[in-house]
Amino acid sequence: MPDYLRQTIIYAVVIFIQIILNNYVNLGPMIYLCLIPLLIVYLPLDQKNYISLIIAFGLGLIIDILSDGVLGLNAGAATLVALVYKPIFYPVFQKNNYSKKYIPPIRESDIGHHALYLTIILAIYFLFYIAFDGLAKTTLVVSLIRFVTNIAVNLALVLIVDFTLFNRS
Amino acid sequence: MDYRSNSYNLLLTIGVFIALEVISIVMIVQNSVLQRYIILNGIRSTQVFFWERSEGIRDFFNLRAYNQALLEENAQLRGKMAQLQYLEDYKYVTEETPGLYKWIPASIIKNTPNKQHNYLILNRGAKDGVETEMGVVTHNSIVGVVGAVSDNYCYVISFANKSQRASAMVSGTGDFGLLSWDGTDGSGATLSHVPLSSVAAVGDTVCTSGYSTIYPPDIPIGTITDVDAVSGMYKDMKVALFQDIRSLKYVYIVQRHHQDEIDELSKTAKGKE
Repeated sequence: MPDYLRQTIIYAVVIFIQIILNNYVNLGPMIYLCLIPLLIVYLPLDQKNYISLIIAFGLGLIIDILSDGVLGLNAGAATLVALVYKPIFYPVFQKNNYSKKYIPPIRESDIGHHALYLTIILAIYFLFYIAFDGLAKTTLVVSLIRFVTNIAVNLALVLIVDFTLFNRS
Repeated sequence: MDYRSNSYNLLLTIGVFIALEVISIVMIVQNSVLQRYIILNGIRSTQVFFWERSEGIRDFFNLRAYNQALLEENAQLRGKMAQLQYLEDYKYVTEETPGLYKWIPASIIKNTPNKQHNYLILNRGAKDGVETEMGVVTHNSIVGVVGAVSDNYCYVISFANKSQRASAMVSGTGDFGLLSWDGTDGSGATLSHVPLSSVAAVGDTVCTSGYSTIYPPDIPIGTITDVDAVSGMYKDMKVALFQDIRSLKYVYIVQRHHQDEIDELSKTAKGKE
């Protein structure tokens, strides 16, 4: 199967899972289960940055529209992640001359690098998401608890999906 | 050439990033729940079809709890009836005396209680006399405000929504303040801006004040669990709600009679200030 077709199918599956999570899996108002950051880090590394930004914005907007999200919230957070996913990748994975199209799957690198990389990505994502989802109307302590909880829960979720769907040779 | 190309790409990236972020933030700010309802009305009407069926299955397994709640409400209503009968017997109330509020019973088709911006969809719409800005309550909770209405359904901005405030008071002391959801779960709220002179204490009951025309007065909402002085100016009180909004199934949509007249009077008075 061609690489782009396989990637498209995986993206469609992840978006479908995300919509199911949004509409049918409730872990309370503090936790938002989110797979969009995973989709963004698996965008091609050799792709022009502005195209990655537009794709990320589109992915976020699709999730906002198809689920009960506030329109623009996922789109804005996803765009921010798309801006930084490449500059963060190289130092975290310590690969300055990396020439492959996508970030290495877990089996090729190790889970430690993946976990660290995804933690940073999730932190950036939820920084935007929680800030614009009502920081002014929530105490800083509650926002901080929400921030840390979301990173922890979503890291586990994202690693599971990463290992299951993206861990190809 | 490479340098120029790189600079061009960098500028393009920054430009696209700023443009997309501005679009996102404008959407977040401008996207009131009402606008969103209008935009997604088509999608919602299809979703409602499936929600009604899935709720039917869920209702079947929760019948015991619903029956218990209905029994308790019936008991309270019987008490009210006895009071009214007493008043009628003594000619304080006649058959021609209109009630102060119009009550429309409704059931919840869709409830999103686990988000920061929650809403509900009820099975009553314009055909049933529902209008925007009507309050939604139960016998022991405030549920929200009708935000938009279609022919057969209405969209309710839940009280468990960061944008919602309700005027409430402490029974007994009469001190009132603004009640808002605390954003953590379905059973916690905060009564803020209570005067510092208030002697309200933990365990006191909080009920609707009736100062806004949306909710009828004297609906018990919850009990005070903690009292804090804020900046030496006000008191904030944590309130444990009697009814967890997540477990609701049946509600009442209420509208004060002569609401238009009250609104018109307010406008006229403001115009003369």
